[in-house]
Amino acid sequence: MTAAIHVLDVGHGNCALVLDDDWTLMVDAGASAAVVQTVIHLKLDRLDAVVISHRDLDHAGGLIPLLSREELEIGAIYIGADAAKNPTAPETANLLAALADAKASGRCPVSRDLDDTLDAQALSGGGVDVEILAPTFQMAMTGPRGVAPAGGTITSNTVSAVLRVTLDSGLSILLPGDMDEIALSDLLAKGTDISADVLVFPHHGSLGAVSDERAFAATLTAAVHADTVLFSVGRGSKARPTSEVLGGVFETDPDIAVACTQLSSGCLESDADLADEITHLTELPAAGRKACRSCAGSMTFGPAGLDAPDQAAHQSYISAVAKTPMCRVARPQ
Amino acid sequence: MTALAQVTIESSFVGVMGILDDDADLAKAVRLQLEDAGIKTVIANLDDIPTIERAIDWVGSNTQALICDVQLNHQHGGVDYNGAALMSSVIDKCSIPGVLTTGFKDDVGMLVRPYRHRVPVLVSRDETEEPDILIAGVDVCREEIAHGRASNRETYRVPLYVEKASLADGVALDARVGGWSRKASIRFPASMLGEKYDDMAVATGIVGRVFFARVNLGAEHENDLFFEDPEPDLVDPSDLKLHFEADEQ
Repeated sequence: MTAAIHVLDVGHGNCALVLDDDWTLMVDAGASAAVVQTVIHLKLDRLDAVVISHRDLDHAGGLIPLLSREELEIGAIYIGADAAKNPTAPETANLLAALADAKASGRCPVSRDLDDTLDAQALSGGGVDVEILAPTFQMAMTGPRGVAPAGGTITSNTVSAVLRVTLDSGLSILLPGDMDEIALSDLLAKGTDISADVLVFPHHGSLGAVSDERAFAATLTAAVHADTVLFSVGRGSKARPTSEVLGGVFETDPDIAVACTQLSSGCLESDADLADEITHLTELPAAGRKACRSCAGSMTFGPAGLDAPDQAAHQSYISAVAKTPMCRVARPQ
Repeated sequence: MTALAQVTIESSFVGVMGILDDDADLAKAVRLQLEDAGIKTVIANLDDIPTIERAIDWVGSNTQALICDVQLNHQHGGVDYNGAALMSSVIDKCSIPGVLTTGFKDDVGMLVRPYRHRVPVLVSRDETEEPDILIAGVDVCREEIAHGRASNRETYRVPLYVEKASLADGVALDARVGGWSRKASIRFPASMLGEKYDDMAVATGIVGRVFFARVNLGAEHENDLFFEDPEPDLVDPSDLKLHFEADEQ
């Protein structure tokens, strides 16, 4: 089997599954049943490594259900420390209890060693090559609530792991978690190459804490120079990606391909106008399938790029359902 | 309370459905609905079955399925058990399927949760007006008795964070289930963790602690959640750092 990457529709959150015959890597596990359902659907009995970019629940909330599947072997979990998370808050307490239990019981190793000094071979195998571009050792050691080297307060998002995964076919995908402008500036100031064929846009295409979303999106798009940008979004009351982010993306690359896991409320405001059924989705589980909230849904990238869903069928769906499709409206004519 | 509208099992129910309710008028209404649907029924006289043992005997001798209200003492008085305990025993000891009904949402935590692992179907009072829902519920329960739990009732070992202790028909605990909806808590009798916790002072002492148990994470609604095999060791989240710091020494 040639290596492939599945970017899953987990609603508001992230989860990517990278696999070939010899290696299975999960990057983020959003709080959606689709995470475990996909493991079951693909008949996976082992995840060689699970990387959680940062500790927000839309990236880590699916870990507990994964750990609870006793038949699923997990090689190791990599998850950074986060002083901004109250360890006695219910969700955090449960997550930490599950991780501590997994470690103490020998269920799987749990490592906080997740920065650019980690030997990325620990995450690579078979036809899957992984590079850890961020956080830098210095940023990770300072941690959330600390001060970044170039100024500014480090948040949970600032220390998101930024991974570039390259398949044996040559296809590369940048998985930046919720990387913010401090982290991006830090990377670019160091001259780090963050180019990739596919970009999963950070923070679901809405960067409220970023001073200038459009400029951030333009800078990131130029630095990654991807053919395709994905937005892992949940269909909620707030339109994601924002028009500012899309403006920045298209300002830099008017021809870049865009796909969202779910149909943004910016493309179709009312749930009453959603389709009765969606036929173009892949067979992979998708959080938005049942309620017809998916747009591209869960996606699969192989050697030639986006394998599924079928792009023509996806575009026909957008034409039929989305009243103001932002992937078209925001694009310069 | 259950997604029985989606059940597609073709009912092959043959026999008599017993009806237990402390509200005689409601029992008669359920009987009429079921008989209109072609089901034979019998309404229990609660005076004849004041103990759970007598009730189990009555169900086993007179029925092939049971429709039972959770509250059996509100309007009648005189029985020493509730419907959830009875339904659980009937399923466990007699392999007779049934549907539990309730008109009180607050009953779910304290009265039903301790038995929910054996009782797959709980419907609201409003749903008892739909005989199809009751018949489908009996079929779901019969399927579980015959073939084991459906996937949405399979249990997985997860942490539960104790958020609150309070007095409500006994000492109640509210806990957040790890790996399920992060916004909802479930209520249950503190005694489910052990008899010593059926004391407000002791129960209050474990607020903020985490325990592990097996939970049906596939439940769609809070009312369908249950847990079993709670582990006796409670974890203090502030002690968790010990597990992580061990690596650094």
